[in-house]
Amino acid sequence: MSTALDDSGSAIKIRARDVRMDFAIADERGRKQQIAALHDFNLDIREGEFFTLLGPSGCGKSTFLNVLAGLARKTGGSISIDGQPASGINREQGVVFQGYALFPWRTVLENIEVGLEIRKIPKRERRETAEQFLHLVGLAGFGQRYPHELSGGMRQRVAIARSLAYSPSLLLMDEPFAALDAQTREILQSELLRIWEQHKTTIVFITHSLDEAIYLSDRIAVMTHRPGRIKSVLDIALPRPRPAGIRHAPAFVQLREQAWDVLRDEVAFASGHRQQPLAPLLPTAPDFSLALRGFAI
Amino acid sequence: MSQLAASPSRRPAKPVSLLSSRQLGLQWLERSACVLLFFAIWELLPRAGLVNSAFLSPPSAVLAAIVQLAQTGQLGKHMAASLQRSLAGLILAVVAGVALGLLMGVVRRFEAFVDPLLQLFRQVSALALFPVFLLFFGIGEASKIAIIFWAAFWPVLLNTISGVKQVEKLLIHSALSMGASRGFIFFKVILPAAAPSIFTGIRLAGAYSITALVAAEMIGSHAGLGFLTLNSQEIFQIPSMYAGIVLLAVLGLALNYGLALLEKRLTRWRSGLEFHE
Repeated sequence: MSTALDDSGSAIKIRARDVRMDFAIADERGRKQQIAALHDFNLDIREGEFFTLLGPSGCGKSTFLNVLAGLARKTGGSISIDGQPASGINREQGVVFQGYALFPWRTVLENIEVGLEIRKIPKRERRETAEQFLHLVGLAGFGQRYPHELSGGMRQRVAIARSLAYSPSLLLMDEPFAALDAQTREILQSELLRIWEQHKTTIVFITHSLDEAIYLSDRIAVMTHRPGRIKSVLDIALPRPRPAGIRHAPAFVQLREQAWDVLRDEVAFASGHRQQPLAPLLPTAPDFSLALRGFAI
Repeated sequence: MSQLAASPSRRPAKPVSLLSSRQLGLQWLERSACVLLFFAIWELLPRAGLVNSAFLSPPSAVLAAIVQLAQTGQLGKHMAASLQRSLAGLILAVVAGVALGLLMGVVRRFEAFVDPLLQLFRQVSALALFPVFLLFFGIGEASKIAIIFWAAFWPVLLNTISGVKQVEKLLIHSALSMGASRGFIFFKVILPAAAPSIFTGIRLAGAYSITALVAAEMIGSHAGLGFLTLNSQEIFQIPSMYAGIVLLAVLGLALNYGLALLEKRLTRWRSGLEFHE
């Protein structure tokens, strides 16, 4: 298999071409309407890079991630991962959700083991691996606790450990730190970079926080407000490893201004401060009944 | 290091009671005051002649009747018969209710198809169906177990369906995203997530099964607490009639306690959840 390369000569992990995603929603008169959440969506994500999708809420960035994860089916276009057309669930992926999505009846260790259990790894081996990843995320000693006994930050550490434990080559993160307080958030951002620098999996990260995007990423794609497409891609040429203090460095501040210039209009549209024809509000969590096929939950 | 690691992994300690034994005693008294008052009034009414003691036996006489029943071996016989019937009906109802409930919760088409009929059936009182069960199953044990089954089946079924439907989608998405099979999602996500709701149904079913038991035992039986109650009334053994009623309540309480214990054991992860959420 020949690996596709982009203009800069890097290997391409994910290639999205003309991806389209429509939702049918009912308007106030109860008539069905087609809303385009994604339209002419084109994107190349490189092997091993930390890539962030940045955009105002409701712009369709989570929709793209769900399509990428195989949890929702796109209406049109093509996505390929490692040169193979993506269809359904990619077993080489880990997904971290904003709402942690830990299984409350499983202890922390049992939660981290889930992916390994699904892959039918023998019990002893998966316990060892889980312990290892428990250490990696700094929760040694909390293995026998239940998720509800942990703070939000700790739960998200467990979720990260769980999605890394089966060694996926692609990590998808859907606003993983959005529900955390500012301090915990910064700590987890640094932790994530530390872990990523050890594992170098490709990460597709979703956020609406500019600072978070710049601090973490190699590249940032800014999305337009609905229908979502890529407005521009910024290179974040800050050196690594990045200390927490880099947020105050002139280069960081300059990048933030640059990115804000791109983002500003979209945020204004999204929050309704510009009188532009706005598309009707989308349900923010689309129904993934397609992905569930038959499971009527 | 081992000490450091050990400290956070210990199980959460039970909340230490700050009350002294005297305060605890007072608290107990406060909680049981109403019940004690009830027994006092019950004792007093027939003794003071306010109610005819031929109709209302005082608790002391009821207790004496229970002791006497125990001594003659009658108590064991009636208890065993009742327990056997209610447990048989209850267990059948739990097995059938959970199985059908899971199927209906997961396969939406099947639920849509069956639901109207079930809505109709659940309105049919178990007692109204008793003559039908008698026709089909005869006057023996089968018809009695059938009526208990009918009463206990519905709460299990309905709570299982609603438990399955209320499973957080995010949990299913998360399992799906890791490549989980349908079997894994069903047995390792949906079933444990629905377990608390299923148990609510089972405990309700326990209460209903006792209610139905009484009715079942009042027709064509020779043993059981319901039979004891009705039969004592017919032969005018009023204290032992009240003994039967009291023992039925005790049986119901014991069943509920046992089911609560089982629930606590099987959904142990929930302990302390109320304090954290």
